[in-house]
Amino acid sequence: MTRFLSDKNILDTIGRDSEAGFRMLLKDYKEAVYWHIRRITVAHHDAEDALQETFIRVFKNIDKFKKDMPLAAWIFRIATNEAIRQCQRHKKVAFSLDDEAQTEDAGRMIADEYFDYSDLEAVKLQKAIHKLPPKQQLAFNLRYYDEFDYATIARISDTSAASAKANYHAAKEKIIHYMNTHD
Amino acid sequence: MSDFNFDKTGKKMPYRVPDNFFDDVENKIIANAHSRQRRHRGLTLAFRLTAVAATLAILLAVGSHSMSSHKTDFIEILQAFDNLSDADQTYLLEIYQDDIFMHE
Repeated sequence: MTRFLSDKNILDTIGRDSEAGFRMLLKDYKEAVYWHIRRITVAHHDAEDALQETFIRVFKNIDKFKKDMPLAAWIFRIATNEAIRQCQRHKKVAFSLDDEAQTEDAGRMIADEYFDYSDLEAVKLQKAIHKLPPKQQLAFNLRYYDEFDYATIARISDTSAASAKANYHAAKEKIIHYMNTHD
Repeated sequence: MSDFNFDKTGKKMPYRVPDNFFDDVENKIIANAHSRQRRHRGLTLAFRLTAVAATLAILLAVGSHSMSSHKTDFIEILQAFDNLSDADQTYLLEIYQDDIFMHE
């Protein structure tokens, strides 16, 4: 995840001027958080709703943020929960971190208007990711796309770093197998 | 059977966003946060005024001899309300706002 500002800089600014600081935080995080949510919800409108709820929660609870974890981990943890809540609200495939069952086929990709079908390899990769169990899906996305280290992934997904690493490698193997065996 | 390579596929995704989405959504979030803050403040005030009215009504009905104990009850209610989390305050306010008997 590409960042331009330090957590300290953002938090100090929020302490002095909440709106200015919050705008700094939004500028630094909104795109990465959106894409993280979008990889879970798939549909753009659901991702937008979850994105808004995420930052409103961040805004309301920033004074409760304990600096024992990176700000990014705290925000991505809230975003993950909001994305899951959004999926459940629309009775979509339940992406629950407590649910070890495999998620359904990523057929819901078909309905979204903000979806590019022209790159077949990219579509197939997303389908492969959505075939994974939720914890592997989350670990893979956070490592592969956002480039978080395993300790941060562990904070976001409420697991251990070793477990996050195992989930990522298991996910990678399954994706390679899927990509090599499906047209 | 092909030999899939992550490096070749890269991080591209088949997802798109509307034009100017990231600029627009920032303003929407700020506006939404402000409006919820105003609504929360309004509801808090409404709850407090309702609590004051209810307490005064009880005091008048029961009589002046027990006024001091009710005053204490009322202060305790307000203190307890202040100690609740934002989410719990909002929940209570939303419940009581729809309570027709409290608004009669």
